[in-house]
Amino acid sequence: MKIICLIKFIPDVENIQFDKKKNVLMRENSRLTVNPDDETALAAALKVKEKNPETVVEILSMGPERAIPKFQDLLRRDVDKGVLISDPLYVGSDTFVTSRILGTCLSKRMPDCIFTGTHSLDGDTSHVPAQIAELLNLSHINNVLNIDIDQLMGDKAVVKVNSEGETLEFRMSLPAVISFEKSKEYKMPYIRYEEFQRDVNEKMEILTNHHLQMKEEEVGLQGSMTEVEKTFMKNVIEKESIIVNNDDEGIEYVYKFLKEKGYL
Amino acid sequence: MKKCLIFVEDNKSRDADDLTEVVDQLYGSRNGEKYGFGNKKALEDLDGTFDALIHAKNYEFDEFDVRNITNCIEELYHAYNFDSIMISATHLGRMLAPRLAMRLKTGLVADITAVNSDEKGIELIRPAYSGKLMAAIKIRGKGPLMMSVRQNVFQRKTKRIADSEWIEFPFKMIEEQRIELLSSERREESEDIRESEVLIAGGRGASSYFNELDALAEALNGKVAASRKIVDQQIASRRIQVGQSGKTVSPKLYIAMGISGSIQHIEGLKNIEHIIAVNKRKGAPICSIADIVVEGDGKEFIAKLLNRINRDGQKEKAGGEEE
Repeated sequence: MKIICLIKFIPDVENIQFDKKKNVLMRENSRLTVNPDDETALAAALKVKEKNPETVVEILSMGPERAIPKFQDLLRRDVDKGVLISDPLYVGSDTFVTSRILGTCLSKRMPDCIFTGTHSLDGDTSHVPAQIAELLNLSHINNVLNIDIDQLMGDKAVVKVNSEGETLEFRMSLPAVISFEKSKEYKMPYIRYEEFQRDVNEKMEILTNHHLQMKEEEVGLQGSMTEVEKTFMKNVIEKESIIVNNDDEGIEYVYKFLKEKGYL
Repeated sequence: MKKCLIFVEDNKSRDADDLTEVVDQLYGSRNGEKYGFGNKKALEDLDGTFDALIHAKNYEFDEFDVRNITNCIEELYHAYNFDSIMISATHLGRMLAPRLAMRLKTGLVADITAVNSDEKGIELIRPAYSGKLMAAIKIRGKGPLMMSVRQNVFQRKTKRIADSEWIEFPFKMIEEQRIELLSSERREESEDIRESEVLIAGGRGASSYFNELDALAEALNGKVAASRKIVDQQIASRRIQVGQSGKTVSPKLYIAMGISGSIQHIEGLKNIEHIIAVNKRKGAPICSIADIVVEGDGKEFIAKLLNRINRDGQKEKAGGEEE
């Protein structure tokens, strides 16, 4: 069984700086982290490998070269191989183009399963997994909580899915794209001490457009089907608030308010 | 006249009905023709609000058979040449919309919360970067305008029209299903927070006493909701998350406990009558949209308010929050 995990490195969304004059995010200098849902997907793949040691786990990512140290940290955890797609031509690609680039790469190394996260914290479109599934003509499911490792063999997978208040169990034909959501069940293993300094270059491959041979007009901003026209901070309608303390008087005020408005 | 296709999911006709408002906002209520596509049963509730309702002849697709739904919509697109396609951003919708956009080689904007339409063109608005800012997006290329639309944000305003035209479409591209639902289990507290008139929501400041929100929710006949911080800490489930990556809610009363009120959170609050913010920092952003700000500790607030409610001879259960 070969599993390829798609990993997105995202700017640290919590601490990202915003340039108020230009109305843009300063993402170039922000710290990169692994998207949490994607980390769960990789942790799940490593769990499969732990139970079935013949499993091959690879990671595939597209991003700037400055992601390499983070990428190598992932390779230090029992991941067999990593492919990083990085080419200045691809900068500015929207989800449509990104899916086509990743799909082109995957079509040349089809695994049995593609594991991904469901949402990314930065864009949060959830487009790429479904679009890759479409390009490769595979089934796809989002919000996976659990994959049944004992039943993961041959050409079927059984997954539990969080769907709007229900837990649904599906059986899917493989190969398929299986998109996890962040969950307690799968935790990334720590890097073993002896792995910290290990040279993992031999496990890593960097691909550019020279390898993928996409047409220039079909990638980057040029090839994108969507364009961010502008970004802006949202105006919030402010209210005249009454400020009270958490004392008897304040509680009495709240209590009366609730009573008056019919909540009690 | 613009032709718009709205996908109608099983048991979610109301969401589809609300999307007619998006058509009206984009093209004006007289210039957008609304076509609904779904299983026949789901379409029945929409008779009279859509111009046309399309279902398959002698076939019902499985709710999660996204590949076949995509096949059907592709066929419809080629038959009707829709100007735009709208899909509610549900669990299914967020799998279907991107697949379909790739199939039709068109751009897609995810989870929109507003639209701008004027002589300069159409902009679709969505929150980005965890709602830290909003983005206005244009679609390029020749394909249809495609969007997934956040649930509960738009509400149909136009009145019912005459009867809808019912169309039985002979789909040809249906193929073998590759995903099969084995079982479904409704989780206990699954009643939707979107249905509740009163919500008691907890944020990072409430992480140490989140469980105690239940008692207050019970006393006010409401439900407990959470901010993303609480969900990320795995204290509460994403199902009860309010905000851009959670749900949009419109209760009458929203009590925000220890919630600072990032834009991403406020994005999830629509048409709320009353907001009470309980926070140690009266300068927290949520306080600027609150009717009442209670400055102080939330745990103490719950205990005191429950005490006050009980003291008034209410026969409800005692809160018993003192420690």
